[in-house]
Amino acid sequence: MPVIQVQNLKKYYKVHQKEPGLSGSIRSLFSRKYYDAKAVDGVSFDIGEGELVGFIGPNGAGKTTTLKVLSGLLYPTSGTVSVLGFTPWDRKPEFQKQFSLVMGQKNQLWWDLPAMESFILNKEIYEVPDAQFKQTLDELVELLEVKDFLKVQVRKLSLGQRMKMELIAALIHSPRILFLDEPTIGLDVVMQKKMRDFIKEYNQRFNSTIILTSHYMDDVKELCERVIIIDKGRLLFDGALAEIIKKFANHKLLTAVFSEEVNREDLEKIGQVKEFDYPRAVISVKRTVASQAAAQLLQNFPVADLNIEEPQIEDIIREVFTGKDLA
Amino acid sequence: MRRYFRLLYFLAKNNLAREFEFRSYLVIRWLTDLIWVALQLILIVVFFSFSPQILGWNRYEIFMFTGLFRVIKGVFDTFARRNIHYLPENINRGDLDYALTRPVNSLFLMSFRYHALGETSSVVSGFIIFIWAFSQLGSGIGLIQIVSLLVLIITGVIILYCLVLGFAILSFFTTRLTALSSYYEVLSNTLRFPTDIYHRYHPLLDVILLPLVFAVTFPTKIFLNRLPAAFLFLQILAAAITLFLVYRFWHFALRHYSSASS
Ligand SMILES: Nc1ncnc2c1ncn2[C@@H]1O[C@H](COP(=O)(O)OP(=O)(O)OP(=O)(O)O)[C@@H](O)[C@H]1O
Ligand SMILES: [Mg+2]
Repeated sequence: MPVIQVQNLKKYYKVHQKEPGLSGSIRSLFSRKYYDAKAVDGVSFDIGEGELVGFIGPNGAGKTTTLKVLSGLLYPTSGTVSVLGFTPWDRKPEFQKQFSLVMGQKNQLWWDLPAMESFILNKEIYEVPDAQFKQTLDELVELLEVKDFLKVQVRKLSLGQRMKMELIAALIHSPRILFLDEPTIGLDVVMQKKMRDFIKEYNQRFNSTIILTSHYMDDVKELCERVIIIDKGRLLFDGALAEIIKKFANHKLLTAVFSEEVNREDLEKIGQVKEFDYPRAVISVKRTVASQAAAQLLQNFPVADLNIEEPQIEDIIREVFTGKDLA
Repeated sequence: MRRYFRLLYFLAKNNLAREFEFRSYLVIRWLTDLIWVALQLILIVVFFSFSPQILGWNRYEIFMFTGLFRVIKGVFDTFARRNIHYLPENINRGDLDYALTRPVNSLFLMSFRYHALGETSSVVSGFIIFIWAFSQLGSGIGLIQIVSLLVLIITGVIILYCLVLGFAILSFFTTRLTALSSYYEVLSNTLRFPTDIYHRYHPLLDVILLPLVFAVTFPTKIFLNRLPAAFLFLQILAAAITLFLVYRFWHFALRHYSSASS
């Protein structure tokens, strides 16, 4: 039984079209033109308990919008959503006590106070019993290594330290479902790695269901077995990370090292030359003819070493995002 | 209900810690308020040097009115004003997001998050003026009067809160609502005097001002027994109905909340 069910979800924003300049402003006073920004345009997926799903797509794909609908902030234009059996935008307290939304670009902590005060307030808001509060807090503080910063005013924390505090504030009521919208944004690689480790650990330890968006492929590669890709509000892919290669990569990469000088033009006959830097060359060829191409290469060129590889997942996703043909 | 008082207590605690950093501001706020009160009182004394009664109010009754006005406005200013002042901007910039995910009434959170402790000066001075003027009138005070005073203050605050909030909620429907502060300015300047002074001009004006009478004028008159006791129930009813309507308006308007990109 999935804990999150989304069926044909659409969210169109009504955007008021304003022409530039003063005359445009005056004109729009009298006749306002609206158009629909189709942020989410017919998306469906199910997510089971304990899954950690990567939700990716280029800027403006509709990721944040989807998470906001799942959190009940926004009413959808159409479609049905069920999270833990609730309709999110009914905003039932029983539902709200069971999930948390973290937005990397927004903060919920009290700026002028130590983070601890925000945790205490959240404890009250979520009606967390004293003992549970203490235990959860101790656990999180230890996992995230922030013991020394609990009494420091939030505005004096570094971005990384603050993000950890944001996570604690979001997790203090032990939510079953976690929506993480770019939790690693702006962090350095070391801190990103720590965040990732934490998210993974949290998911495994508490069997919480997590949807994670990120523009850092490392986050997704390391954390998510399953990935949902959306673009322009539409679902492009939903499945295992490895499946992306099968589905979108209809080519393979031949990496050859030559023992003698070869001609670039000759290599082009075999496939698309991606890199050519003597003695090494990378040639992209259609999957179906990869072995023939390799044989051809061995026959006709002074090859010292040859490798057949799948393309990098980053490259595939980048190409999917830019809408390029993947030959 | 108890839960919300508890939350208010924790919010107040946080605000107290926060504002303690701006102690000097608090002191200045209290001092300027003191000067302001003195000027207002002098003005009243001057007015009443011309006539012992103005529109049926004597000097002490006007003092009591002024005291009550300060208490009611002060409570509103302390707990809610700042939040409602920023509401249009919050709506515009999508800052309701976190409040809407909480298992607490979102209107409560958005209304009482930040407090302005400097405004308590107005509550304190208002009370002092009120009690002093009342003692000058020479009538004793009993338990019933204390309770009804409390009810009158609470209902007055509710009415004022609804009058300001109702206007602020309009910003869900417009992209910019810059008129809010001038609206509040006009509103509080109008409430500064008993609404009696406006009654004689035009019936239409009376209709427009009708909700305003419940903010300070009726509470004062009810306390002074210048209106029949039944008006206490009318007052409670008016506050309840207004609060209900504004509450419904809020939930209706939330459907138009579109957050903000990013
Ligand atoms: N409040 C809003 N009003 C109008 N349009 C909006 C609003 N929020 C988002 N949009 C539009 O909807 C589309 C999807 O936005 P969304 O924020 O969901 O994308 P995203 O996938 O989260 O992008 P990013 O990776 O940049 O965060 C964008 O074209 C955006 O301009
Ligand atoms: Mg986003």
